[in-house]
Amino acid sequence: MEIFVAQLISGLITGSIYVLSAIAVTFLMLVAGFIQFAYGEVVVISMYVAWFVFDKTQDNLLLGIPITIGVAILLNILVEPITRRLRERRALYECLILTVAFGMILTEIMSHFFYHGMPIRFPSSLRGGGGVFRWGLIVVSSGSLYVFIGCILVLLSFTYFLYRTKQGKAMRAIAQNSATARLLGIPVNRATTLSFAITGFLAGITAVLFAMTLGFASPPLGGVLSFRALAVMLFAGLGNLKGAVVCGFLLGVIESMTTGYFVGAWTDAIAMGIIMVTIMAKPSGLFGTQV
Amino acid sequence: MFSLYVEGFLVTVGVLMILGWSLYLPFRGGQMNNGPVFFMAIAGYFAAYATRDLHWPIPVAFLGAVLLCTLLSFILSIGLASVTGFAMSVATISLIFIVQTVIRNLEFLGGAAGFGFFPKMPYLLPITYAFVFIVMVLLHHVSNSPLGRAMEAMEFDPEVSAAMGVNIKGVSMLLQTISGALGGVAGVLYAFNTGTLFPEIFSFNFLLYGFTVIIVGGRSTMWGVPIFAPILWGIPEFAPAFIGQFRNIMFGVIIITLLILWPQGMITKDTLRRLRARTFS
Repeated sequence: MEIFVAQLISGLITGSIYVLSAIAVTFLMLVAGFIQFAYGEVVVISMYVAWFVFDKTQDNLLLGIPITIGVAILLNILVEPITRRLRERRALYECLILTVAFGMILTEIMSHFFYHGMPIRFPSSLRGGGGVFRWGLIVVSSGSLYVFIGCILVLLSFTYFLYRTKQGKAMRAIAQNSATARLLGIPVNRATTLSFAITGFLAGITAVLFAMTLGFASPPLGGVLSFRALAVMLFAGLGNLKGAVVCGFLLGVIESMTTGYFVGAWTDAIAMGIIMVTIMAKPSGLFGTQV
Repeated sequence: MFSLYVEGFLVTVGVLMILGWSLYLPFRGGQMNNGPVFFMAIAGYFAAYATRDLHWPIPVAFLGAVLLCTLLSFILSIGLASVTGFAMSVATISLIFIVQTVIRNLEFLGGAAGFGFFPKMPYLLPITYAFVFIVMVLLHHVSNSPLGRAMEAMEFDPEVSAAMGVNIKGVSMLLQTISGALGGVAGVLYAFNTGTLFPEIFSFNFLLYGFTVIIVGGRSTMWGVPIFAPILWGIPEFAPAFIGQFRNIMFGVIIITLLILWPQGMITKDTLRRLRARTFS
């Protein structure tokens, strides 16, 4: 029983990262109309930049965290002009290939120019100072707790932004029908660029939270996270924000349960297998497409 | 005839051509199917294992690997036939992750330490290009057949083509099966060229290389692949080492540049039409 609870907690914490990523990619897809495959790579390269800053400034969190978020926003905004022509033509596969290529460029930059491509570690001050909570077999580090709380806070703020602010309403309007939104006077181009910036902001926050959970990073991690975000999106149903929240946590819990009860090395295959079978059986996702 | 290094390079170019065509075929039908990399892994490991540990003769192992991939891709296509768009590309990418994990955990396939010391294929270079020629003829035949026109229609507008009587599911399944078989051929040739197999080889890199060749060569005709595969592979291979190590960055930048400036690729249907007009005028 204790193993179950321990794995559940661990799964929810990992799941919170997946939820943030899936929400960001889904939001961008709804407003800008294309799928950002390089999201995970943007997150991880921001983590690398954070590590670089920590390395040079003796673990200055006040400097490192804003720089991380800034880099993520900049990188994501960079994708906007690159994909503009393709998005206007609704060339969806080309957008996907382009963002995959962008992601691979980022991964290669990390492999060649940061610490010779070796995994990097983050300071324990970022991870909550090493404190732990124990109930029997269940061990939760304070860093993990901050991550979960951080994720919930970000989700709540994002929901508030989307449903209670003028800009959020504009974005929802564009997501529903961009032509009508334009007719109603909503500055679609500016709002689309803002949506890229918001996704970049979420990527930066994810980078910070990821650094707190994992404590380390390596170049291939970007591709893994990108794919998980997309898989959650399809698992839930393309464009379904609420579904993405549920399925993000679900994937995290599936992975941790597999690690806890089966041999950990098969986690990837089993989790991906479940998603693949679900997509094949119900292509519109568990909760239905909403585009 | 050629040095070992040049021979290895030429075989890899041939494999890249077959891989490019295997990705091109479903793409031509309006679907992005990343299965060929998965089938390369299956065929490569199957042929290596069969020749080293089961002592099968190389031609039998080759045939077995390709038949296995054809059967598997057919079975998968039954499930994937009604899955379109991004769902298909993501589902097939997940296959790549799955196969890497499975291979890494199977001791008899060498796991993460790699699988090597399997027999070398004699006459690998001529056999590779024999296959390139066969695939070229096959694809040319398909492009000019009712199947080719059905693919074009499906890419243009799946709903209209279904209304006009194109069997979308059937064509999709056929394309996926052929694509899987071609991926298998590429995998076996690649395995015998490399000599040692690791699960990490069969990853996003192949997708990147294959799609770069298609995007640069032209996504609506098959002739871009054989022309640009040697060029794109040759540049980082024969460039000085400090440029060559950034191969993936180079390919990524090429894809992005081309998709912004010439999304149709270098060789399009117009190019072929103009060439034909000039030849026959």
